[in-house]
Amino acid sequence: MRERYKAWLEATHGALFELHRHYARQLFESDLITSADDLRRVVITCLAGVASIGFIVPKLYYKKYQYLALGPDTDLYRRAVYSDQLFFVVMTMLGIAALVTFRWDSLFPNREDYLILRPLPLKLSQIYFAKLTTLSALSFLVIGLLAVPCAFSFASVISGNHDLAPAWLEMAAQVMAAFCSGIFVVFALALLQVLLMNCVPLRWYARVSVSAQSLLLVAILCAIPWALDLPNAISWVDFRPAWSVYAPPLWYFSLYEKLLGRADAYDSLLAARGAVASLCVVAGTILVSAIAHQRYARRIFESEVQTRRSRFKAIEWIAERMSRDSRESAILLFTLRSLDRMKQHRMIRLVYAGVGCALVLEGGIGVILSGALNKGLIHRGAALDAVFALPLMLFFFLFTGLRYAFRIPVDLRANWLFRLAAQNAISERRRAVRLIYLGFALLPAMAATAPFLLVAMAPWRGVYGIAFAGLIGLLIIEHELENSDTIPLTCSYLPGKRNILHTGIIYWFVVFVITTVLTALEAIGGANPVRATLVIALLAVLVWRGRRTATIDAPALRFDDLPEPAVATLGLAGE
Amino acid sequence: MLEVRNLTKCYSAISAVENVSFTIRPGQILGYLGPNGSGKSTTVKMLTGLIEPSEGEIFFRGENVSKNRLWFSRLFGYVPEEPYLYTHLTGCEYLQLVGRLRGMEKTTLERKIDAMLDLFGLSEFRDTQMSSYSKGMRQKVLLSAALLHDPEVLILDEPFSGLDVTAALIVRTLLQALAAEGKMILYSSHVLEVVEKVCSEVVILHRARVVAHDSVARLRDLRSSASLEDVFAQLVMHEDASAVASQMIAVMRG
Repeated sequence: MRERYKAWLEATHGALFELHRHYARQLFESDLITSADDLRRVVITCLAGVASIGFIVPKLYYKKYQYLALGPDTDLYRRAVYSDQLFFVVMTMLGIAALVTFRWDSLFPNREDYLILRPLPLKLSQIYFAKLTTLSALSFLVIGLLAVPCAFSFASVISGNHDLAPAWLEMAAQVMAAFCSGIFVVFALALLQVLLMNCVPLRWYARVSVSAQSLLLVAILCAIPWALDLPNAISWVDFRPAWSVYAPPLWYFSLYEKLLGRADAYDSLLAARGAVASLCVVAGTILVSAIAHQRYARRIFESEVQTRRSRFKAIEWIAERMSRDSRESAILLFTLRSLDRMKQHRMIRLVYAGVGCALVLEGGIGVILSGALNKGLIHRGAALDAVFALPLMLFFFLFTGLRYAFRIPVDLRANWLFRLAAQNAISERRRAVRLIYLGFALLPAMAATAPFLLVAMAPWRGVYGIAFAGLIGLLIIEHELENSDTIPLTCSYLPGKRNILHTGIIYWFVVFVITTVLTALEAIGGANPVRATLVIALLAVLVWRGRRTATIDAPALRFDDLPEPAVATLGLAGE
Repeated sequence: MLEVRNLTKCYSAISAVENVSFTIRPGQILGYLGPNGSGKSTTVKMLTGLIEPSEGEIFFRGENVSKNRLWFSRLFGYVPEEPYLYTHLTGCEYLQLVGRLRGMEKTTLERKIDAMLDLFGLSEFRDTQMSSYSKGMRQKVLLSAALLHDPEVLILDEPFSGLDVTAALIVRTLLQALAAEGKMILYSSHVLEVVEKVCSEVVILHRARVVAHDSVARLRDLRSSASLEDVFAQLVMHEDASAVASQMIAVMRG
């Protein structure tokens, strides 16, 4: 049976099947995740990762519901279940939104797809809709893998003394709510892109599309910390403010209640709105696509030939003025332009910046909501640590995002130019990279968080917090410059060796540890102005020494990464 | 004078280039010929320093290049076999990058870029990203980049690839004019007609080894051939072209 299935899969089928197969492979192909020849492993890992989330539900919820089931309060039990169900709905929506936003450029055929596929005996509509149906199928698969195990595990955990409904109904309601919310997200985002592609003037489209993707990604990442707090929404989960009619998660949560047979009139209205919204976005996407796909194909060809003037003229002007010589400005401008124009690099920076912003917002709002500010200026305790951590946290994420993006080469075969003309540009590279780290990691982090530090704490302590974070940032930048020996974006990179997950886990863990330790030290140093001055003076000396050492011991530039070892290890031998 | 002595490049046990020697004098254009995989591009990459030779040495003005690679890299211009360049940059931005990496002064660089783009008919596309350039347009950018810093040596690997008739004619005349000014030019190509017209001497490579090194006229005399193409065919072609073509048609139909 297995052999027959394998043989069927390997055989050539109709044009549409092959088109879908081609697009399905394309969706998983990304240098950030793995090398091209390792697709099967990526697919299995990604889908297994999604499916396994459901199996950790019993571990997370068993004790909570065991404890609640022992009590006499049925209503408390119900509200706990509801808040967890709201959490599942929101997380499904965010997960699917993240997936679709991450593949924003792959929702519809791009110029390359049309160039390759158009000469083949395929209709324009087939090329167009095959991509949409492939993405939809993948989204349904992910929703299914996410929702079904979760629903099964959760229904089994909550069945007991205070059952709200039979377990099968509980499961079915949860799965249906997840599917409807997922469909809404996939097609709403697809519809948004179709509308942008067809309505926005051609010369604006690329910019608007990138901005929309960036905003969506940052919004999704910012929403995650808030969503993670939803299981604690027991006290307000029954509350339906007037704006609920504009809140899609509440529509699908109400759909869950409706299917369970526990919805009141207002919940029924919201549930109906959810069902209608899902149908509308599906119908809208198909209708607009059917009308406009030929125009879309025409526009996508035209959009690529647009004259491209730099979007950061002012930044480039400043960068040129800050460069000491022509080689430094060459490296600086090449890096800035590449970071701006390469989708992959922009995405990396956005993910890191989004996580950083989300954590800072979560921290800042947490301090405000805790009421610490109502008692006057913050001068001690957890609130002080939280405020001190904000600039450091944001800097670390912006810095590591840049650092990671620098390691992914832009068209490796073109790096012969740097090999020939910039082999000895060691100090120029150092100065250029330093300027980028300062301008795109340290300064934004300080500028974004400094006002809050100055408002939340005594002025001297606010200034101390900013200076401390700034000097730590400088130390980290100097350390990085000392330990790196490549011109950004020009050295080969082996995806399997150090992929985005690997990098993410290591760096993000390190970020949390370092931030915690540094914040504790910062708080000790900031006990009084004298101690704060001493700490800042010590850090300034360390920065000065770091810069001096870095200038003396400059490593030679490297353009080829080491080959991947034949046997993968845990990386104990270092990079 | 650029002198290559016994240059060899081995990958594991396979020789990509074996004991290649030649000299280019000021004012000379040396044609470097050979079938696919004969080692032409490997030699060019060793000359430019993109790969290290396994054996042999390169001398420029009597100095061993391997001991002072940076000095030599400032003196040559290079056009690679494939138009690999950063296509997310515009033509103008790419030339700025090259000029700045070569340490050129800003006003001179801007003036030269404007003139080069204008002469190659690319002024209209100066602010267009090279991802939408044709192969010929990219080749023009690469040629401009190779000439920007007025190099003493030009190392050209298939420089006419993708160029239209007018541009090819301009470049051919330009190469002859540069040679007349005393530049040293290594011209690696498959296009024998152009080599025959432009080069004073040719080196023919086959299976990593030099099989002929002489002036075009002398090679024709020695081989009693009417053209360089005939000489080339005698030296490196062992298949019957019409037989291979017939077999291909049979495969297509079968």
